[in-house]
Amino acid sequence: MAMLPDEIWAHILEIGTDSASLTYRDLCALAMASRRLSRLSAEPALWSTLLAIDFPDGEKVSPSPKALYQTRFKLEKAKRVALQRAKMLFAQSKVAVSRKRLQELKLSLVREGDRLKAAVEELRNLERARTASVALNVWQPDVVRGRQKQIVEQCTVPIESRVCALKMEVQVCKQQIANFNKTYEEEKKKLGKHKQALASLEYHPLQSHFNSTPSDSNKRKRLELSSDSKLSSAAFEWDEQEKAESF
Amino acid sequence: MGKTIKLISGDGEMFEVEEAVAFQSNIIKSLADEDNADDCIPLPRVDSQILSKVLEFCRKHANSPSVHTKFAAIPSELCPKHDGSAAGASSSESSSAHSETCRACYDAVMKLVQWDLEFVKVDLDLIHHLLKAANYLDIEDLMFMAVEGAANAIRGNNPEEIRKLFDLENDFTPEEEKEILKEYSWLDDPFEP
Repeated sequence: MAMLPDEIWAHILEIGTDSASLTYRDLCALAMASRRLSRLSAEPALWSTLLAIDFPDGEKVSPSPKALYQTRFKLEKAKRVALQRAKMLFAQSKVAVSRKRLQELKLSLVREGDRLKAAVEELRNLERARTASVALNVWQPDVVRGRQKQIVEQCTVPIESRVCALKMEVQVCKQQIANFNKTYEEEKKKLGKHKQALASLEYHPLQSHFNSTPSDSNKRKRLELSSDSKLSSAAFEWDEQEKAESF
Repeated sequence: MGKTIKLISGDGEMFEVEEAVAFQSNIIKSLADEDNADDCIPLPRVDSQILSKVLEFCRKHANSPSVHTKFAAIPSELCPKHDGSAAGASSSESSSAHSETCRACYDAVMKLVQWDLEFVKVDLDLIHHLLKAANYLDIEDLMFMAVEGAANAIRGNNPEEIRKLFDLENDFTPEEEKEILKEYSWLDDPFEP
């Protein structure tokens, strides 16, 4: 396979960049391939074209389009990196907030659990007192009687109303515990989601250079369009360029 | 069959084609315009295999306007639906206005573009030959598509692969290579040496 002459390479580079078939990356790869291509791909007109395609809003004229391209590229990259970091920090804070909520819920559950235990304990005591006072009305052996009298005397509160209140308290506690448990489960799920979001931000896919900048993904879209069916670029993009050039 | 042109390939084979087909090539057109008593145009630098491929392309494009150059619109005279009955000068504005609204023209252009894309899905060797032929014969649309074929091969490859594909020699010294790596270190995913 004989080599292609300079003239043809010049065509390839010019037409390739004009139609967005070749990207800045391809031009760089070509430049690194041989001295000849390095010279040919350094042609300012090519980089002016790339600038117009990838960074359309900005300086159009520059003594060195290639250097300008590099500058714009680095600027985009820096913006992108900063945005990524901001997103990461936000995701991390969401995870932290979730974790804190879960801790608080745990404490609430413990507190409620203690309340429940206390209420149940008191109920048990009251039951005993009630049984004792009923038993006193019936004949008991003296030794038993003595003990029962003690229990009744020790109980200072009106039994029936207290039992009612306590039973209600027990119900309320159980309800609260159920609620806290439910909220806990929900918050756990949220935490899972936030952790996932954080993990996906931290993951670096292999094709990062294709998805890295907005202009890159625009380029990729254009490449997909142009290599799949050259639809809009064929008839209309050229029209647009003509119109743009007539300004 | 209208007026025909006779072409002779580098290896002596004769191809007779219609003027509209042959005149896709600006070179053939200008050669034919010179009053050749012969009316046989020799093309020593193109062999028959390549010439037949080129003519296949030209045949397809014979009655369409250029779809790949900057002015890609069908003048109303050539619109398949309107059949020359549409009024209006064939100035660029009216033509582009026409094909922007004419669905038939749009479809015709798209079909041709699809055909062209398939045409260049061939091995790189043939692309090389088509590039040279399009350059030598000055056929704009073929050059455009051959470039697309070459770009398909270049796209996404690193320098070493490009060298292999296009038969290029790495004529940098090791120091120069180091310089170059530094020069292109701003790329995401810089290329390896």
